Amino acid sequence: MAYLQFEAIGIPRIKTELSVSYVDHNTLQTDFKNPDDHRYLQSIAAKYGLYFSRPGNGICHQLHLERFARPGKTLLGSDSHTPTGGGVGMIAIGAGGLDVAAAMAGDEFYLKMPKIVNVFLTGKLPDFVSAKDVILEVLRRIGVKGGVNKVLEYTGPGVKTLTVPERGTITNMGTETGATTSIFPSDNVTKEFLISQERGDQWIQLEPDEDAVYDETIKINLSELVPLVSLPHSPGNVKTVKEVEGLKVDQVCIGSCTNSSLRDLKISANILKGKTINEHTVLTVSPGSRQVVDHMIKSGEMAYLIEAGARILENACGPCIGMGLAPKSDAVTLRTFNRNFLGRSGTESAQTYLVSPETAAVSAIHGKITDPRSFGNLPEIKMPKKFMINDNMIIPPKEDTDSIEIVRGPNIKPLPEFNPLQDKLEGEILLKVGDDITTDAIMPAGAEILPLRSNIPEISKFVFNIVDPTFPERSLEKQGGFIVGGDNYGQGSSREHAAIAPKYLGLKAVIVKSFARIHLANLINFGIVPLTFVNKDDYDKIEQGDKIEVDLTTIDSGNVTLKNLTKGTESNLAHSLSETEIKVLKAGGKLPSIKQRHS
Amino acid sequence: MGKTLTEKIIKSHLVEGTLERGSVISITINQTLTQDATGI
Repeated sequence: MAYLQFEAIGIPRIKTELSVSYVDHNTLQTDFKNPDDHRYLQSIAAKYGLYFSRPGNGICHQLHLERFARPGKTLLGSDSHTPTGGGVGMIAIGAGGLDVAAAMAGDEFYLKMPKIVNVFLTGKLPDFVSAKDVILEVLRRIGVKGGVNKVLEYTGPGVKTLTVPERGTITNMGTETGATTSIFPSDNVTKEFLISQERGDQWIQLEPDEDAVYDETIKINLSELVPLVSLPHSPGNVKTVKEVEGLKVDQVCIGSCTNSSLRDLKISANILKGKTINEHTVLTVSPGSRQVVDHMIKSGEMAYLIEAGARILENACGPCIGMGLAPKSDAVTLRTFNRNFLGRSGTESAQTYLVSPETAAVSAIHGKITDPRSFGNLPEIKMPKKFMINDNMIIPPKEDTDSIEIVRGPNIKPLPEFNPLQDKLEGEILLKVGDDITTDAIMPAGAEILPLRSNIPEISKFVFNIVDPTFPERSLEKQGGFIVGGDNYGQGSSREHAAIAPKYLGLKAVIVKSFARIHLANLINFGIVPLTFVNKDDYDKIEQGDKIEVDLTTIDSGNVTLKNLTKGTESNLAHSLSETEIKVLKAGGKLPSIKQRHS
Repeated sequence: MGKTLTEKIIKSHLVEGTLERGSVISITINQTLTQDATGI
């Protein structure tokens, strides 16, 4: 809800060097809601000095890499895959909409200084093994929480063998390790890419010092990598493709911000050239941008995809966030995407596997998961030295903005207002969940729910929908309460709706073993107290339905006490809140203090 | 002691804090992006 919140801050124009509003998620337009939101966003961009990328232009991270990302700059995005920009040597971080609104107002962004991991690359990728397999290997080694509060910095002689789009694939999906961001140096490869995009004047050389000291090191020999796959339902559940070969595949989807570049589509097209997809496998392709489509049409390679039987979708996120092309019941769906959380595809019984474009294309031919190295010779693809540039679907910032009116459709509701925090929180444990609860579990996306993003009362009816559909009603009936969870609570998206909607339902505090970074920040921004068990065994002693009290009078000390009134026990809870964050919580959220600062 | 690439960029944008790991810092933001589902 970045722009509703930016409006509430009350300043006449953004204060960043550059801000872009993209439309790439809610593009299905099954009724008035999506197009009303698009018009609202267009009017906001016009009023406040932003670039506006029109629906159909492409996926935000692919476009940003092509047209705006710059080495050495910082980028804050209201999407967890913002680290794609690290492919050109930016510090690109995903955050909640309120933090992005504050940044647009000129405020600095607060974070914990992350540890820096040297991901040292040597060798060169073998045929049919590509950038997706590099990041799957990282996930295989460190899992979905191994990157929390860390930056993955790629170095070593293997770096120069990777193009910028390949680097973007790696930094994009680095998000799934929980990393704050990932980054590659800005070198001659970066320079060539920027020149090809007519942005050569924006290149600067940037690399670590030779005697840089890292907190940890991961060594990957690219030459030894093999095709990999994430199994349902976690990006970190990685095996070799060989280990799962032969499994019948009902659907293959190529695309998403991870793998929709020109290179990805060219290799897919050339593998499929002259072939037909298997009769029981559906194939979809979602190109990343109009530039990609332009090149694919002019080179004749788009025809290879169409003639093989691919369904060419819009240049948008599409099936990745459950926006159409849901697979059949119990489907095995192979996707070049970055997440395979339960239910995300739109079909709860579907099993989603995450693979490279090479594995996806070869598997689509055979109708089963197939190691792409069995295809034969790797088709040769030619990348353009200069890309065709046409920015006519990006509306630049306007200068004369006084007469511009903001357009608001009936589904765009006012921001809910929240009260300051009380010293003692009382209520029931409304829900107890396990480890790695995702933002898709807390606040699902998909074709039915995503259009409700501008309407908190309506979207709150779907909080925890796939975990416990009775949660919203129960929460309102009990006048709010608490959630208990395991490790890595809130992994996944930056969607602040995973905090605002539960807050609207009365959520007072979340008590877990550990938090994912962005979701933790969103909880604080909306006045939900994030607490952790000092003794992780206490998680087992508390149950859904227990009535508890949490005394916040000692919050400044770093610890608070939980009294379990049902069980007659006490637990010690901790938090990682800074002094500023405690003030934010006590005020009921961050927006009041931002408004005051700019008044 | 030499700096990592991350340290170099963070240092050049640092407003509050130091590069000490785990400490709270604040940085200036040059660019922002939003997508329509979270941007609203």
